[in-house]
Amino acid sequence: MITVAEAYSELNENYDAVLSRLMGKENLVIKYLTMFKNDATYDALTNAVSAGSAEDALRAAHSLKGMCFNLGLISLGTVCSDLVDAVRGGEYDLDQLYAPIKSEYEKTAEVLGRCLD
Amino acid sequence: MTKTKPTVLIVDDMEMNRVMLRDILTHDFEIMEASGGSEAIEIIEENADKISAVLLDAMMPDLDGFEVLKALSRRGLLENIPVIMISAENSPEYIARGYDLGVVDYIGRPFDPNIVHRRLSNVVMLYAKQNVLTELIKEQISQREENNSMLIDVLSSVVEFRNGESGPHVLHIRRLTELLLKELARLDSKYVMPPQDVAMWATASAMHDIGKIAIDDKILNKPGRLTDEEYNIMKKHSIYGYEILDHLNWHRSPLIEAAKQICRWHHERWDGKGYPDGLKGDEIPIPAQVVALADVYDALTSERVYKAAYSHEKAIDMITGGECGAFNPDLLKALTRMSGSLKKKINAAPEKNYDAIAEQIFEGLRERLDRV
Ligand SMILES: [Fe+2]
Ligand SMILES: [Fe+2]
Repeated sequence: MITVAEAYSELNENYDAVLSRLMGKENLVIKYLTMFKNDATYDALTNAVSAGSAEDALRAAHSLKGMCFNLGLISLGTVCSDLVDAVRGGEYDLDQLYAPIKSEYEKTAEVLGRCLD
Repeated sequence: MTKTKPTVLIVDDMEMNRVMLRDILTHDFEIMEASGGSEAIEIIEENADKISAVLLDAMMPDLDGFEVLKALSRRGLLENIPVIMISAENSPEYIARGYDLGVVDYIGRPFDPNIVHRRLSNVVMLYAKQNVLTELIKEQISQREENNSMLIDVLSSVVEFRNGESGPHVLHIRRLTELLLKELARLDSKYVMPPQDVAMWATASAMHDIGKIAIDDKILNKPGRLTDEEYNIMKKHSIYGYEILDHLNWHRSPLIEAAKQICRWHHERWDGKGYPDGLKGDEIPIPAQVVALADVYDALTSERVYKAAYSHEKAIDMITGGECGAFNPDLLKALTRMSGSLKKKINAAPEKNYDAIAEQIFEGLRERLDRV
């Protein structure tokens, strides 16, 4: 079991920034991280990509990006943002855009798994 | 003192986002939640009086934030309920689109809870003040209008009563003036005026005969025909009305200025053969022309001591046939065009019982005068 601060540093993210935004309340951070971990949006993204539905993928990636930024998970948020921009731009390869999201998400989920009970 | 918290509706398809906002705001706001666009519109429609502000996510699967804004604006709900948009999308075009559609503020993700709280509080306070002020002003205006109208109707009815013509005459003149002015505006854009001016002229029209208060009873209520001399005195009611209002020294009141014109010139004729000034054609202000026509029409269709009431159709024939004076051709055209619906509309005006009030006041006046 690691602390939230350790989890953020392992993910190369800035925990202090998140904590100060959430009024210094670590219990709130933990609450939101737990919700994030149990959230189905990433699964929806995975399904959309394997079904080849760019529109659904864009929507899921956009939602994921919002959650990530709020939680200070910038690396994951950024690759989600890349997918959103590329699909909006009209020239893209869904699988290619999905790959970094998958690896970032799995890494994040694994670290958070060790930190949340 | 328990202060009721303002209600905020949080609209977001993501549960985590809703929970975050609720945690930030729950101390100072009553929270409602919607997880989609259509649900949001439903809740806002049902609780429009209760909701002080809406926090709206831009991107939602069923109906996105922009569509929600359009729907709210179509229903006129955006005027009183401020919407703050929240989105992870921070591109200028996106933000501009939100503002174009009527959001009062735009907050990007990640947001700082303190800032969300503060911006929301400011917006809620601003709108609450505005709503209270708007209500206050509306109330005051309608009350003042109502008082104005009532006093003028009472005053006019006093004159009518003394004239032995009491009945719905004043109300008819008022209604006819309003209908004719509106029909003229439909006929030609040069007659278009703002609705509050139409209302003002209609109110002023009720005063057209107040000068009769200064005419001797014996002439005013003479059963037979007036002699030339008596008729000349009677004609002075137009000038008297003008002078009574002029002496009020309310020169800057548009209503009084309007009533002055109508009192003085409601017996002028298009061909210049009217009184008191013998004005001709366009020299006579349109509203005074309108009141002159309304006066003639209502006199024809009402019963008088010396005559039975003519039918609506007969009255229109007599007026357009030139039997009852000379009128502006545009005005006659307006009268003919609205003739079909006139009979119904003229009595559609709410009948307020000012006659009875006028009678009471008049009785009181007479008692006092008797004692002098
Ligand atoms: Fe959303
Ligand atoms: Fe008159």
